[in-house]
Amino acid sequence: MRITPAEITALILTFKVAILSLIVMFPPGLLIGWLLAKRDFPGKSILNTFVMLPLVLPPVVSGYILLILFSENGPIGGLLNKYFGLEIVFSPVAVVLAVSVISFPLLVRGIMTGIASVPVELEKVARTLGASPVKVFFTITLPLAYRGILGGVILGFSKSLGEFGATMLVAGNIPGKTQTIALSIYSAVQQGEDATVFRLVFISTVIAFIAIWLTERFAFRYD
Amino acid sequence: MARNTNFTLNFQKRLGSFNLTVDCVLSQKVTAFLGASGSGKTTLLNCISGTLTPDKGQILFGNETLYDSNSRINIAPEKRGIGYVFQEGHLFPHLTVKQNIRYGQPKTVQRNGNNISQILDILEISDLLERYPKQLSGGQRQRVAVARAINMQPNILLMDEPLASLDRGLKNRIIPYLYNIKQTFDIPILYVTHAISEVMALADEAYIISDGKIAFKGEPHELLTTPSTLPIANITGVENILSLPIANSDKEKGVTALEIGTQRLMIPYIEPNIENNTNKEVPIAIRAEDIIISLEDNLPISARNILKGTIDSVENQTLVSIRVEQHLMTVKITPDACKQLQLCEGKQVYCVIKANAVNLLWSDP
Repeated sequence: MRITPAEITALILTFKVAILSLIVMFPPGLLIGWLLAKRDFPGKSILNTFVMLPLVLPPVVSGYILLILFSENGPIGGLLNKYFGLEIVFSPVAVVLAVSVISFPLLVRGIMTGIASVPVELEKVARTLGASPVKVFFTITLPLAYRGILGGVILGFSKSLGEFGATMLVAGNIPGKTQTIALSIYSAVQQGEDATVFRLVFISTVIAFIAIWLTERFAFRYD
Repeated sequence: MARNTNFTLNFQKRLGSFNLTVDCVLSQKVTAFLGASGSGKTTLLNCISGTLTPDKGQILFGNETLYDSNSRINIAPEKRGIGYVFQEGHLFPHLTVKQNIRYGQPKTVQRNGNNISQILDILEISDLLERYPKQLSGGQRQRVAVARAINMQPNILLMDEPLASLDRGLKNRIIPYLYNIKQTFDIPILYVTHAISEVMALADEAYIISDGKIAFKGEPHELLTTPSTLPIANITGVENILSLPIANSDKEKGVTALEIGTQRLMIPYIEPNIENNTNKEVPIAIRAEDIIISLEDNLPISARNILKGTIDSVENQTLVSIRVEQHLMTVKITPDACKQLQLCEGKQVYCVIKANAVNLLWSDP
């Protein structure tokens, strides 16, 4: 089995995008996950719905909404273009944008589950032992929530690797620029390149197996 | 002159239809709050520790204000210097025993000079330092929780039914540790419980809290002798606490005889302390419902103890106080039994007690 340079490019792009998306989305994911798990505030259910929406919407719909928002004449894309000269749509940045939006609910869900599983009493004890709320978060809440957080990270990351619909709409399918593995498979199927399809499907399946194994092994387990 | 460690509690807190009102000054080393569940004990502790804010009033430690609704002072829990030992211990599961104990340790030089090795020695947990909480038994966990709270050098130690989650035998083994803590460290303790035996063993002063109000204040032994407290004590379970000297121990028969005046109380065999075989007193507890009242002493029964006494008082036809030699025993019976035996003040009766109904409170070396 020989992987072609084009396939390697797609593979590298896919991982780069997924890693970048994780780095960018993790801090807000942690904040929102914590807010949703521990705090009561007006608009909580709206925030929750908004964050979880891409999980239930067809990815093409999410992609279409992003396309409208970020296109050159769109409300966000227009501003970025006007003040920073940025063109998001059909660029690698659009891939990051698409996979971030689609994987964010999985990331937040995991973080939320993890943080909610930490008994309030332990945080209360830590407070009486002289720890500030920030210290409590980093020394008690976070370490005890790590399985849930890790689960969210692994699932979100895997989702990013395989995202298709939203990426297709907002970033297009440009080889070497925005063509990820999922998009490569689609193109290869269209063009009847069975060998390429087979190799990429094989790689994707292996990645999926590893992700599930990692999740089972290290995350979402409470003992 | 010791520093002022009086704890002034004067506040109100409403939670739904429940109303907690306290107004008292705690000046003793160990103050016990006794009450049934739902009486407001935990609300009280949460207000003191700062995890719950009272509606109005004041909480002072010495001259330091922790909470004052008038001047809008409400010190954050982490700045109050209050050690809190919870019913379930609540050790941090991801930290070792050592890390748990170190969690609240002040960075500055220790104020009271309670050093960590002394705490570990008294609680006998030096060998457990590298373990994780899930590798500990219930009693060990609770001792570690106490160590963690003391090691933060608190101004006061709050204990919320620290023994409630332990079984009976274990409870009696932990009490001496708490007693040693009281004797060794100069930390006032507020001890909340529903077990009279714990109050008797540890406290210098006792409050009964009932329905969100303080219903009684006095010395622990008064709990059993003040008629007005009996109905409340009744809810929480009455135990007779006695401290009796050993008369003799017979290993073959499996019994130890304790002196109760001129009479003898047989209990399951305990090893006589060789170093200390002077007239050492053994603290014991007998539950009020474990004593049978008989009008005769010549009974063909297995119970080892038939003690002669005189009825001191009868409360509500259910709680009978019987004077056995110089000790007062409370016995719980049904009104029906009370009627049938025609129990009344001054009547001579016998207390029938199984040896195995006598619980050793602790065996202090």
